[in-house]
Amino acid sequence: MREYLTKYKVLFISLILASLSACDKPTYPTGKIEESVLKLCKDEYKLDNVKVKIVGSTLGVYIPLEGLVDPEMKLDQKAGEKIQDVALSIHRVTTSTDMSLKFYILTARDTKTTGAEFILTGFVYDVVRVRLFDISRGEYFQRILRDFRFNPAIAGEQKVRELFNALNQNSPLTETLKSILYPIYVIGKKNTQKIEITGIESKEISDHESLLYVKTAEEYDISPGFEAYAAIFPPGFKNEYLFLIDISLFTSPVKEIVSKYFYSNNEIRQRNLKDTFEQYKDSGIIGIDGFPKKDLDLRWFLSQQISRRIKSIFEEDRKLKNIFKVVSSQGEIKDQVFQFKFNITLNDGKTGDERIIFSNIIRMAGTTLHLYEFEEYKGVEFINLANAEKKIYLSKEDLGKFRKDRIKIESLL
Amino acid sequence: MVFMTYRKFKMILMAHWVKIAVTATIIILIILSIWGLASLESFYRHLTIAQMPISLLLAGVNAGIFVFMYMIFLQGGFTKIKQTTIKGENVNIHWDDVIGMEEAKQEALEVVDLIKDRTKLLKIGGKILRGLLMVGPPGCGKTYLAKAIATEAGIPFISMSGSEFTEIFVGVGAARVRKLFKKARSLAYGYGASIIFIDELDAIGRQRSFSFMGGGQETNSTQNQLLVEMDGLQDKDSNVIIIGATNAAEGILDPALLRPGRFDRKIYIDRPNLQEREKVFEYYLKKIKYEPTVDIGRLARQAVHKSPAEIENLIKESALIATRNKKESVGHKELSEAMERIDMGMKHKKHMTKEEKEMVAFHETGHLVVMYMFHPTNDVFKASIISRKESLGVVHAQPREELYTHNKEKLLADIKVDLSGYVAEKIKFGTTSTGVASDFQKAMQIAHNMVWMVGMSDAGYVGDYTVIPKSQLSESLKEKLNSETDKIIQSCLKEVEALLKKEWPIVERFVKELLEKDELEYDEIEAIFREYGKGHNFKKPE
Repeated sequence: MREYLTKYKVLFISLILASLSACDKPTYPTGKIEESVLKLCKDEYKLDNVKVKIVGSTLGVYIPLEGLVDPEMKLDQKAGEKIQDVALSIHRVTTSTDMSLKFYILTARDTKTTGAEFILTGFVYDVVRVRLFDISRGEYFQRILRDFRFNPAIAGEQKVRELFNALNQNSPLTETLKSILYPIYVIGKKNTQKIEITGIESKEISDHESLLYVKTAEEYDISPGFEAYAAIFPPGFKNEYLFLIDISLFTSPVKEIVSKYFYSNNEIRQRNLKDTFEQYKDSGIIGIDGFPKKDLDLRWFLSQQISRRIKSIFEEDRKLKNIFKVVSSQGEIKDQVFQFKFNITLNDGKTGDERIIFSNIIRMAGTTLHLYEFEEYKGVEFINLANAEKKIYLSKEDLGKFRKDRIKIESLL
Repeated sequence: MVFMTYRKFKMILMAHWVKIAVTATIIILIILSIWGLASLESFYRHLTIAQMPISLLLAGVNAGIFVFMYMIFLQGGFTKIKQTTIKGENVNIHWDDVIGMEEAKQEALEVVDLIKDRTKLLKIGGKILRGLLMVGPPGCGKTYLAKAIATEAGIPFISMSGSEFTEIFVGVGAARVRKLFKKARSLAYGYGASIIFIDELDAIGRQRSFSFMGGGQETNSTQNQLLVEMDGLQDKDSNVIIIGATNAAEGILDPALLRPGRFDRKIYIDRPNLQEREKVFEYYLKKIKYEPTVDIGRLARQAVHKSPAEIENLIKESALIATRNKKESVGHKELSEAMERIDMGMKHKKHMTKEEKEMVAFHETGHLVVMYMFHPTNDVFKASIISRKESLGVVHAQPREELYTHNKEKLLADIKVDLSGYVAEKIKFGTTSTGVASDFQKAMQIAHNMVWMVGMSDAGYVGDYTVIPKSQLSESLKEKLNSETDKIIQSCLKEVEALLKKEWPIVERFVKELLEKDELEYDEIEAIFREYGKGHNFKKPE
């Protein structure tokens, strides 16, 4: 009888173990990630206009939203809820998959207000840790990059299209520009010019400026006396332009226009605009299509996170907030050295106590890098633009020592 | 057969419905849990599985704390009884294993027949057996016999000790009795009958006492419950037989327990007689390696008044001694040493002067010679001048056979043996020691009782004068009786003196041997007496 009981016990336990082993399958396996995000958004949150793209180990999700920005130019509450739903779908998929996704970027873009977008960037492992209560929700929110902004590239592209549209309609507003757009407004008969954009590429060169490389096909009727030019610039010829758009200049955002062809010293000359365009670095991470332009890495992510934390130190601590003002804060990593440039002054604009500013920032940076167990860097440079670009450089080891109070701020200043 | 299987199944359901319900619920919950787990996203599934061990541990700790608190504060656990239920066939003690109690065995066989043929008995209109009380000294096999009854009858057997019912809280014992009977009835329902064996019944079966202070209330209530349950059996028509075992005299138990309908059958299990002891020795010796020279008859004679348990212990002890002596089998020497150790205690040599030792030797030799020459019923097995417990020396004698009455000759011989140490000392040294004190006490007590109680004086005083209060006895009568006591002592003294003087060479020879060897075994003693033409051999009883 006892033997039977033992057999039954073994059978029972084996069944349970077999059932549990079946539980090992990932809910969202590799190859079904995009499909799964779309399905979750559609089935559970009734969002059917979501688009998904995986770039390396980064999951990009794009959702166009009508009314992302409210009349006060803030994030609309309803839009915010939809963003939360999509973010939750992303979290569910990224935590229950066997694919090694490291980052996710959710881009919500307003369909009405051109260039208005909300970008949520997160590290998947942070999602896991907050769900396991390994980090607090407060810490988790510090780790997410949230950007609510106007995309200069999109806004710039929009402005360029509007401009060419106005030119084609012979709007009087564009009269001043016509001389720059060489040569058809010089050699063509008045009001016969039509320019069609055949290609456009953009780069964000700052948080409010974009550089656009525009290819065109141009039609015109040649003006009497310029017939010889028709051989060089036949109607429908291909032209190129570079546009520098600054969206902070609301009334006239077109800062510069450079045409491929220009007349100088009695001859027609041309410039290589493509090469010039390529020389500029694109600081934007989201493309016009709403997806990441490249795979993200932890170094970039940490540089951005720490630059945002610098702001939050002086904005969330009541004592510091009453004394200091953060004008700007930027972070980047070059040659394995983090560089954080910030402009922190006293509230009255005067230079603040460097001891307080630097000690808070250095300790926070050291702690953040330590919490991520990030070791792939040589050192960190802190520059306060407000005080004659006061610099402090700490090697990785010194940063660790500072975090452990083995180095005092006085010795660094 | 099908009906019995159905009844057994129903019994199991009735007895274990809580366990069955809990097991079924657990299985359903496990299935639901696995189903639930499978429906979770893999992240939460892994999280849940990873947390399972600690969750189970915490649940276990919580449950443990809850049960502990429940038992402590709500007293639910105090009534929990640890009775061991064993199926009859699993008890595995058969009639053949029961030895050394032939009469009791016969009675028990009848009981087994009554249990087995209950239906037959009911048809005839006979009375169903309710209770069986086994009375006897400890270690005589009462529990063993009860187990054999269970095996032979092939019915479940619940064993409990009387002391397990007693608790400091009033009512707990009674509650345990109720639980015990409930379980027994359930088993009887499934198996046709069951046996409850209550060992040390006197713990709850003593005559009930009623004190205004409330003392003994717990025992009373436990016993009352037992009485009620035993009566209640008739109403329920359950075939539950209660076997009680006690070594307390019958008068100690409450009369209500002993009346017909309760413990209506009594079996007296006494210490084994010579033949039974031989069987017991044979049985236990079979379990060890022993030398063929071991005389079981002699061992049985030596072990007069020993219970089977004591005999078993004796053999185990002898095996230990043999192991210590690096022997491969047990011989008579080891058995004798074991018996001596059990009867006389461990030896411990005291430092004595030569004179003192000599005096002890003469004292013990006096006992030895007189015992050997005069005693009609006892035989000397050993003489020793090694101190044990309080005595400086000892002469170990055993009756050749159990005697339940003592005649005048035996008593006079006892007195002579007691006085012989004193006489020997006096003859040799012209003086005596305090070593005679306990001898005199015994001798005087025997002589006094002979005269005062059993009419053994030569003056013809017949009757038990001790039943009459001393104040009502005349001084002259007391004087006469006491003078008769003295006469017995004096007469014995003379006989002893005469004997020892006559056999003084033997005395001196024994003293010499004793001083040399410290101890003399039966064979050596017998050899010396034979040397002087005084030897006598044991006659094996018919």
